[in-house]
Amino acid sequence: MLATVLGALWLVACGPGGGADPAFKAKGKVTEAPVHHASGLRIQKLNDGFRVEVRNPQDTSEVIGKYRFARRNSRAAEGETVVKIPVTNMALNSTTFVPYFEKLDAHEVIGGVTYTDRITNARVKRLVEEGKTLEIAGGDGINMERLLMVDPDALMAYRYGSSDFSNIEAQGIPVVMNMEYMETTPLGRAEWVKLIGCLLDRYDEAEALFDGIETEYLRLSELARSADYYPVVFSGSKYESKWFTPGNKSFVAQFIRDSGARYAFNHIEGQGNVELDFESVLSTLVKADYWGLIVSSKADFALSDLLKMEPRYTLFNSFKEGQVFVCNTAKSDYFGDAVLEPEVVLADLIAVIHPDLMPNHDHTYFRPVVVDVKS
Amino acid sequence: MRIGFPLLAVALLILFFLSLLIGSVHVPAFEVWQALTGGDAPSLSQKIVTAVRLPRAITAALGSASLAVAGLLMQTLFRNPLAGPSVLGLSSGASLAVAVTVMGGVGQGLGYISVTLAAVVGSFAVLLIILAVARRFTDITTVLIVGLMLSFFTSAMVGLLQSMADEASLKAFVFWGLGSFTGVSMGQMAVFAIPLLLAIATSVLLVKPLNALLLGEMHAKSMGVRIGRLRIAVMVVTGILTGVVTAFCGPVAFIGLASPHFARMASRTVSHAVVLPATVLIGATLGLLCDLIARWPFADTGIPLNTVCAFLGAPVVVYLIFAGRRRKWLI
Repeated sequence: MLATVLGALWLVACGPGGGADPAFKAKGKVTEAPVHHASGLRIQKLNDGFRVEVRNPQDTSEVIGKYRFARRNSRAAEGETVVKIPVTNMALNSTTFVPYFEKLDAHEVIGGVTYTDRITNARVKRLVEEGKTLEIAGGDGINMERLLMVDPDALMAYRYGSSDFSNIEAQGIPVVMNMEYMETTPLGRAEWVKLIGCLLDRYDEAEALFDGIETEYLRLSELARSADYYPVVFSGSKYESKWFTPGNKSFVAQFIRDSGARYAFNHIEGQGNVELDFESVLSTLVKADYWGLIVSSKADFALSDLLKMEPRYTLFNSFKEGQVFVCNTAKSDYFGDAVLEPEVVLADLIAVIHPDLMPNHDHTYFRPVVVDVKS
Repeated sequence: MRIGFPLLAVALLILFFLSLLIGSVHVPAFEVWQALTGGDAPSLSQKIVTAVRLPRAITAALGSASLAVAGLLMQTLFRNPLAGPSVLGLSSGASLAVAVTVMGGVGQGLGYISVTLAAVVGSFAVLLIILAVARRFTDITTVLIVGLMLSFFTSAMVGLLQSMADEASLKAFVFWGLGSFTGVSMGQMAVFAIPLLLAIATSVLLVKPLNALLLGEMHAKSMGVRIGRLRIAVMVVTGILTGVVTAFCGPVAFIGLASPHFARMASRTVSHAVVLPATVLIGATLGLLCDLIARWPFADTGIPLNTVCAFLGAPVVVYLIFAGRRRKWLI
């Protein structure tokens, strides 16, 4: 009984951060590394490495993995996966992890990655061409034979559905889960670079890199907040009778809110894309001031290209005013590099929505659409 | 028998060894042999052969043989050449349960255990419904129709779940539905193999009454076969075979339907004493062949197993049914 009460007090004292976890109490000098935006990541610095806890960013009560990154061979607490650091050879089950390594100049550590053909980062592309980074995709996930050939120090993976990595772990390859894609803010996604910093045993560099990103991002969002009018912005596009749009907990919605604008679908719960009935959202779409979307096109994207998709787009105010902006993934690495350049993306958005705040801005990801249709 | 058992066995062995030899990483034949016989193979080759290719080959051979036996039992029981493990709705039952698990968010994070359990539970739930129907109606066509309707119903439910699922779970479910023999690791092999081997062994005990059934239910009854019991035994064996294979490999198409036809053609008889072992051998051989094509070395990510099975299986079944009608191989 007393133990229960004490336990409850301990839980209250530790708050929601998960500090009550006994595995997180380590001997020796332990310092909590600052992680402010990535809600699924927790890092403790130890004398001989790091202790990392990965949780579901949208439901932080769900622990996804506990890791001990150790410089020397050391005993881990129960339930912890041990990885010897610094890693020199990594396998990645998503191309979205590539920029995290590349930004730390550690791209040569990537021994294998799934879907190498989707990589647009020049330095990593070269590694693939030279055969130094191998393709490890196969069937519904990872080609086991190729993975064994890469023989990585660890596999960095994201989880979908009921994906199961026990086969891989049985071969002595530790699996480190990276849940950055489920973060709800752009800074949250970028902060996962600290996880890569721990693996490379270059935490301080990763922290400095992130601090730079954070400072610039916060400065820009402060600047955008000073605008005297917040226009309404929506995102997404129509498919058959549905309008597909990111929900209010998506990082896209956060980008829009941080760029001095109101998100038109701020009341739609959801992290990923949500499908809405086109008719029921039509009035919102018609009235909104700006429309942003992701496209893939070899030529510069123009208003007339939108009309080819759906002639009724002419109903939208944003269309009539030519206030449409796009990110062309054929010309910029929105799904790769952009994850670690949220401040660049934000600057683009502010320059589109509040041009007076960002004069002479050079667009990298998002840019105004070419207006070739007279309304 | 036109195509002898020795020939089939040799074909099976050759395909089995080819399965160990061919893959996305080159391993010389000599090293494959060393890895198998406990010789001094390089550690990478050793791992690839014993941890990746061997379980896959065993799964392909045993899983397909099981589906083939299930198909044979169904075809005899329903006296219908188009019956197969999927016809009673067993695999659709498994699909629905897996869909609920993967896309409905039940048992998330449990990985293969939850999917496996779901598939077994799903196929047995359908089996129980079918058995209940079979007890009330003596007419086997009614049972068949109920099975078909259950299939439609579960497909509709799966469709509904798919329309509401998020992208990641949808992807996971779609890939499960494509079928694959890579789902069983050496550590899980016993869980996979033991029930299947037991079920196949049980089907051997059913040879005599099944032969009697071929002459018609009336005739079988007059020979002392207890039809009701036989029906239940056949369904339980089929349920185990289909449920376990579907759990680990997804709904693998056509092998269960096509193998018994091949077996009857090869053995030129319908007697189960010959056709059953022939079905086992042919099922295993077909499974290995389909899997070899599925991991075609020139295609980086391989071809989905069910695509290969359908390409190979559909025309073969059509041919066999035409040829068989003329030459009376068919039941």
